[in-house]
Amino acid sequence: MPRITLLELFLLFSQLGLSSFGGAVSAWVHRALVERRRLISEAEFAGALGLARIIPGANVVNLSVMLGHRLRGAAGAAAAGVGLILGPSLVAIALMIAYLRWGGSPASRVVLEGAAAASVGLLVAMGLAAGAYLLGIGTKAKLWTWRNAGNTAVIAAVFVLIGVLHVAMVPTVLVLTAMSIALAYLFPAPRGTSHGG
Amino acid sequence: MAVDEKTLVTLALVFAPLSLVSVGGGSSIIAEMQHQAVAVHHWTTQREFTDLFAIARAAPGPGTLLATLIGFTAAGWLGALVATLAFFLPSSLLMYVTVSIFNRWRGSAWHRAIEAGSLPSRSASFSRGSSRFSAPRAAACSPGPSPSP
Repeated sequence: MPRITLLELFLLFSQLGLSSFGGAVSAWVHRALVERRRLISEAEFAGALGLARIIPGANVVNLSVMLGHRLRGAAGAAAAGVGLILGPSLVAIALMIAYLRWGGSPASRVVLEGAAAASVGLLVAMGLAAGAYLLGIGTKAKLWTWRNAGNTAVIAAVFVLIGVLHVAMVPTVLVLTAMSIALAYLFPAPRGTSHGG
Repeated sequence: MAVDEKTLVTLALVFAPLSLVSVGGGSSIIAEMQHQAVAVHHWTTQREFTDLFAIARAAPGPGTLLATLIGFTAAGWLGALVATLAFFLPSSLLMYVTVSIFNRWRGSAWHRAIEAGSLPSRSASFSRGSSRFSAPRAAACSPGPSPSP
């Protein structure tokens, strides 16, 4: 007798998807599956999240697929993934239809531009924070290392090639990611500075 | 609504590869989505794209539902369906295959290393501020001592 049925899994992830505004969904998934229902252990969740971040795709979708698979196999992976996406996509389309009808009004322009500005700001902040973390800025770690120089070069190359020169993204990212991983292999972070982990 | 098959195919061809390079989460491919939707295929104007971006972020769920909205703008409900599947299915399948392999190695050294190594960064992202974590056991995977100067 499974501890969670497919329908329950689908409904649980629908609920998580629909109640996740502005990210941090992983924290809610943790709360629901690890803390409340105790279906997934703490270590298992950590491993799933780690893997979900390495594999391309929205992290929380990957996490749902993995935990769904863990709980109910292939059907569970589908139930969790579809559950997470379906509800929010319908809400987004409903908002979209409202936008098409009323999007031109001055009031809605103010709201949309404000929301867009906030989201762009959030993305920029995330990018800067990730960059600072990667280079160890704000820690006691030595700033000038070959590894940091390499990382900076990769960041700059991605920004210029894709953001400025509009080189096709897919091959650029594949090549630079491979280079970046090779770099991390050649120049591992010194012990104790807890870069990544 | 007339279904434009060519647009549907183009949507799939644009979003499926993006799905597989969205390393580090969805926000990494928004710039390329914008380039494709606005400059290359003219599905939206620049202003519409910014609006769709805001709507996708304001709605619940992952911000990459932007793909769904671009599909909807380009080709209606079918467009939304095609773009959503093209964007979320390839990475999910990759995840599924990886998990199947991952679970086969349950209990092995590197499997435990990923689980143990993920714990410190997870707690770091949930509750920033605590000063130092002990060096994660993922060091077991790293290629030995640093050759750098």
